Amino acid sequence: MNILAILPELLLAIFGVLGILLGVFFKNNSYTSLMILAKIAIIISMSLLLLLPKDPTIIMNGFFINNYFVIIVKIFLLSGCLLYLVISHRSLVDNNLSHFEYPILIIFSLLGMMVMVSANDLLSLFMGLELQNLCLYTIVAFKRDSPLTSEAALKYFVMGAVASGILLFGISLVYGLTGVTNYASLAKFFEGGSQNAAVIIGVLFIFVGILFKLSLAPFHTWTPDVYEGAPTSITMFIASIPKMAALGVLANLAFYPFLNLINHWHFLLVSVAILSMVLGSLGALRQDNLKRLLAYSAISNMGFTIMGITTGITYGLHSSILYIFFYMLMILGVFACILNMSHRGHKINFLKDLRGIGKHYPGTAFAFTFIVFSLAGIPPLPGFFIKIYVLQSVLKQHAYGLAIVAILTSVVSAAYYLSIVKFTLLDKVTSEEMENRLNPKHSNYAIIFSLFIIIISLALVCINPDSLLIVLPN
Amino acid sequence: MYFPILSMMLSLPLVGVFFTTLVNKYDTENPKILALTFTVLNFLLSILLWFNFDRNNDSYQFVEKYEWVQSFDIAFHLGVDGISIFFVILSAFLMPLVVLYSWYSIKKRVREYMSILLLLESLIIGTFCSLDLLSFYICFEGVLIPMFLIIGIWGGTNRIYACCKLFLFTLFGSVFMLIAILKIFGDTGVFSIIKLSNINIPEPTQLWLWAAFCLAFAIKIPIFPFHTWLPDAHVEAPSGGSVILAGILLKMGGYGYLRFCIPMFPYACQYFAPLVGILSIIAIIYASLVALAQTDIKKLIAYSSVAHMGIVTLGFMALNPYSLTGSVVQMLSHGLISSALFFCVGIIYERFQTREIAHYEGLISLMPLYSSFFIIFSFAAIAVPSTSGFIGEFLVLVGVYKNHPLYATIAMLGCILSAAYMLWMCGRVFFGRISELLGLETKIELKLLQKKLLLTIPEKIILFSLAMVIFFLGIYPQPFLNPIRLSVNKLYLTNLLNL
Repeated sequence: MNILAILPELLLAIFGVLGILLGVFFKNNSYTSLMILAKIAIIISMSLLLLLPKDPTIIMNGFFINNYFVIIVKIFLLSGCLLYLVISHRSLVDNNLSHFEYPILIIFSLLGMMVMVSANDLLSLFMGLELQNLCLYTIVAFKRDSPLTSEAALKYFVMGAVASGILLFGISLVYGLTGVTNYASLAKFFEGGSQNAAVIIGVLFIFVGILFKLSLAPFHTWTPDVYEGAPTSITMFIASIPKMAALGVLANLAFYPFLNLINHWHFLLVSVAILSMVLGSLGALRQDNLKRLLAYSAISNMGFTIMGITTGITYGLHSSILYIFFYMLMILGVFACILNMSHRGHKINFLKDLRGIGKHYPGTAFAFTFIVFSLAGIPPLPGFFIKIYVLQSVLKQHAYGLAIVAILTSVVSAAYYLSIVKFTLLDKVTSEEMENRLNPKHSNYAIIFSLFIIIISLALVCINPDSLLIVLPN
Repeated sequence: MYFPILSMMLSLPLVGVFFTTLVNKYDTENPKILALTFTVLNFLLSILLWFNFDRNNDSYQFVEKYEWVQSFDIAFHLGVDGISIFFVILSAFLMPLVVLYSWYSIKKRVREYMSILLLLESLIIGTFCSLDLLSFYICFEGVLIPMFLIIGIWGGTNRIYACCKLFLFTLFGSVFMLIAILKIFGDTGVFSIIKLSNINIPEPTQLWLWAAFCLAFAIKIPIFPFHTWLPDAHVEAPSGGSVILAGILLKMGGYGYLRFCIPMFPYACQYFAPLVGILSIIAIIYASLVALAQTDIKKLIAYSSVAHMGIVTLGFMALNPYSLTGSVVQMLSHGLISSALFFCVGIIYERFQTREIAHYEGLISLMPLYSSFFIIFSFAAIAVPSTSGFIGEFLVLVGVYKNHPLYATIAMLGCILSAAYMLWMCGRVFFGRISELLGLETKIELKLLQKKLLLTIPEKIILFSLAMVIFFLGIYPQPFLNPIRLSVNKLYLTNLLNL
């Protein structure tokens, strides 16, 4: 009973350790086999999560919790990570980054994320967060000989360390003034709300530590540089999976221990949301580097997501989690298209490199346009439906100002998404010849796979999202 | 025999999209044949719809409801009544004409063009058939992407500016409508217009919701201050795209007002009626004056579109059965007339590669049949009796005069201006000596040139059928007016009488 609940994480940990051993002893050809092993480990982990009993269990002396919400988030994380490994496999080989450490770091990061999401205690939250962070900093620095990448990794590390420091400071404030770090005990402690300013500051600091990971303004300054500096397949990772985990953690914190303090953290989250949406949409307008543009769009989208959490109702939580899940899929799709292009010989760094894709690679161009318009939120594409779900929850709480800011920034964001589509489809013929390398099925397969997944998600939205109804851990 | 004709009309073009995308990239014949088949099939379905339509019944017919999200009771609700059936038939009628017109004029990426057209048809029919707010919104905004692609890929020299402006401007209005729709859903828990027309929304809320909805419709129709995207979009669009834009998409705004604003916010409609009236009159007079100053034929017709839609919105001001019926008829007739005019402009643009009025003179000697069609359509635009334009304008003016005689008088003066710019343009382009651009000296060359400039079969079919419908609607409008009048009366009695 005790072990069963943590079995998926144990499995990943065992794989990580075994992988290190295998990698060290069979140094030469271990990348491919370790990647395959990593995917298998994720699949087994996911099936364990689905098959094991899902009743709420708290194990390990109150450090680890497993309930519907946590399981759903973990399944989203694992499926996203699986898609990610499938898509990025080949591109790392292309960029001479196929070191065996890569799948191991990804798995350890994933392990950290899962522990973070299942945390029932502020200390295990910190433990999972640090595990995830350290692996992420290392992965971002993967391209060792590039100064741009090293700069990005250093920025990420330093700012991440500061954010973790703030988080720890908040945790210590809360512990100092309440005497407990367990979520259940904290929930009981704050049952009637609290007027103690120091404790509230502690709670706000904890939130800030998490908001940094979500790249929300004004803690977003690492995002454009890290997105631009990291190799594209690794940008894909940090753009999708850790954000989902961080939102899961934030939702857990906001709705479980600190739910009754909503009057205090409500203002923080609302202002962060508005600032992110505005800065994200305005900041992207002048970018000509595609990855920086996607970074600012990520900031804007995260602002939109956090609106659901600010509402404080189940509806809002549900809509936020769904939004970030679909956002994760769409970002994986966008990067999959970009990686496919670079695999076929056409590296895309700047927006003007996108010219001529509509003419020469129509399939990828269609997928790319579909996903970009979906990100912009144009019906009848899937991105529209998740947007209205979040807006619906915001309007339910009569936060009209927030909704209006959201839609206005949506229109502004549509402008730069439109410019991406404009470059892709509306030809300005490029004069240089594009070499068409041998295109093994693997790359295309990843794209088709991810596009397939996205279309399946559209069907899910169309049929009935009741199957994804999330039960709160309360 | 129960036959889900509306969902068939919606899904048939999507099947066509599927088949068209399977065609080879370089094939130019098969996509056109496929698109023509599917659009003509859809048109035949619309005729079937018309024959099975009960003309004495003023409620929604052919209603189909598909449950979508069980837990929130959101359904995909289709149905037509006297107002929407004609828009459905108009769209189904115009689409094969657009495909026919593009037969010879679209030369690159034919496959993509035809599949976008078919997708557009499906979304347009969805807009006019949907009886619930959410599916209306999805189709209303969903037409943005196909229009963006049509103007952006197959358009004129400044097309990027025009298509981005169209997209972002319309999106800006639509998102406010989205907020209003979500607020209505949050407050009342229903999306369906049938239930919503019976629910009374409190008056202060009505004003804000009306403003949000009307922002979207004002940009789409377009009403005076928000019309700036229209001339650019029309000039840069390919002729087929212009026809769809002018003939159908503009009507979505007017139709939306009639179908959603009036039943849901009757108090707000009456509260803001003077505003709508003044903006309409400004549109009529201002747009006509600007049209008078144009040197590009297509831009002139674009501004005349703004003026004609001004008459439609003038009808929305008066809110009595005459003017509302007149608005619907004016929308339908404007759909036919502007489409005809844009087809005509496209025909000469094909041949002479210029749209400047200054370059044309004496066209009537070179292309007599074409010129007679163009002049007939110009007269229809002026609202000469025996064309459909007259019926619409007359009904609107009668209705408006009943309640606000001053507005009607000023609008009537504005309508004179439409005669001014249309006739002046026709005079300059068609009559007079043949201009130097066409540079010919002897009579033999004239005959040769005439032969070269003959109208092709598709063009003849298009112009002839449009002229026929315009005259039929103008001389004997009764079969069209009856269902419209019935539905408008029902709208009026249930919502506006007790204000």
